[in-house]
Amino acid sequence: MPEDAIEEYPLVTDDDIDPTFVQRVSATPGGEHLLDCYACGTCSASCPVRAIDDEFNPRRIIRMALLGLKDEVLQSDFIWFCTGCYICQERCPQDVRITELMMAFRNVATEEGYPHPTVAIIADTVAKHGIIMEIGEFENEKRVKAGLPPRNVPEDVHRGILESTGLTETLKKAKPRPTKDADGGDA
Amino acid sequence: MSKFKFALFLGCNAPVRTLNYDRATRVVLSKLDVEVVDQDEFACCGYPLESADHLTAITMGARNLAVAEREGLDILAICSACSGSLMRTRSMLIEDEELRKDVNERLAKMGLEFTGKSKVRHIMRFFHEDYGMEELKKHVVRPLDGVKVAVHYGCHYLKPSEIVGGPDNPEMPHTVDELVDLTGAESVDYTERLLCCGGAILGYRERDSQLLIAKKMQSILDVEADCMEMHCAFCGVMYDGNQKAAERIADKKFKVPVLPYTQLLGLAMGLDPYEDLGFKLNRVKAKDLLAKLEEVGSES
Repeated sequence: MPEDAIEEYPLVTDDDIDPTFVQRVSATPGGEHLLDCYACGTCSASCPVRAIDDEFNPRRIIRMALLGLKDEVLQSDFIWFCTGCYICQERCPQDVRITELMMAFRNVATEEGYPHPTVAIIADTVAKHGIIMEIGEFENEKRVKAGLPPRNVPEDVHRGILESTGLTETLKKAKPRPTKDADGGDA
Repeated sequence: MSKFKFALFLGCNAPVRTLNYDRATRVVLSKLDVEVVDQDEFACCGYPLESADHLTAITMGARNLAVAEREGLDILAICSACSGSLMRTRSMLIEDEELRKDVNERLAKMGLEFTGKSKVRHIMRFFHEDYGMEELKKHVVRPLDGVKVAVHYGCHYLKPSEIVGGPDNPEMPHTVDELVDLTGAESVDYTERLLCCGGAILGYRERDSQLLIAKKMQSILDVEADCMEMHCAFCGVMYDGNQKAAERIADKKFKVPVLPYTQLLGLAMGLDPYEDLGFKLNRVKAKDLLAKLEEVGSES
């Protein structure tokens, strides 16, 4: 292996590994089939994001998880790059249910204090307005002008749900993330 | 009395960002004698929070389903992310008794209960399977001859196939092509016809979502289609609303009009593009396409 490759992919040591991580993900909804992956790469070959972004590689993420690289996976930005298109899930010969598995990684990351910052913005908006955007007077005037009925979602209609599942509290405890999106992202 | 009556599920995007789709859909459904009822209490389907917490997302979806049940109506959704999420939630709750019990305890505090009584229908599946192709065709009075349409199936209309796919094979779907052909327009094949819109990562990896739009638009330009067809509010936000951003990243003009299926169908039903079908609200203007139709119309 050439030296620069070793630099780019440093050796994994015992310190990087959490042997309980596989069980943790497998016990999370969507993560049940993690252990079934035999690394064929159908997912990465099919993935529309993989085709345009070298930082996203579903097969690699799954191998990292199976190795127990908990921190590296959960604190990464790349687990948030899946578009949820389900192509890999449809094609996976082992029925790993990869789209759902990517959601499971994100759920565990959120629980562990590493949600993507966009998550908190979405959760906050949904708690306040019931939907992912605010419909005020201005928006409703536009609707009426277009011949549409105004849309009045009752305030706080979903707030109780976010509180009852503990999500609101979990998001308050988010830790600073070690890396940041190169392009910031648009909430 | 109308044969079909639904609770209309607009989701988050349609009521604010794709008013053209909202408008065309209501006018077309009314002409087809399909009754839809608005529910103020419908809120987010849960999909945007699936990433954060599975149970939260399921409970949000269940609340919407329970509201529909209370009204004794099935849901008609015009966003594939909404229909997909609500259908997956419904199927999980029906299959998993423990989950259903947990969720229902939460809903009980809001005076609601999920039993699974109300079904969820995507508007295109409704047209294709329930209203029926034969019946729908009877309403085409002004066939869109000569119009080439690049259909966009979108991911959650097809997948996970065992729950939402209906008669479509996710690798080789056909229902939307048939619905477009029925208007007299021609559905043209193109390389990226099954490519994802990238909507779900708009807030996480904006650049990638724009690159995905650009890839799709280039592929549509390659086959010289007159417009793109869509039937999902979020896909509409991406391709119509964000096409300009994709043009900047690709350093190229696309100018591909993005028409909700109900706008295409409405034109074929002889409805007025501006008065009835909200064409004024399209971000990428469809003037060339409408002029082409005028020409065809005056020749015949």
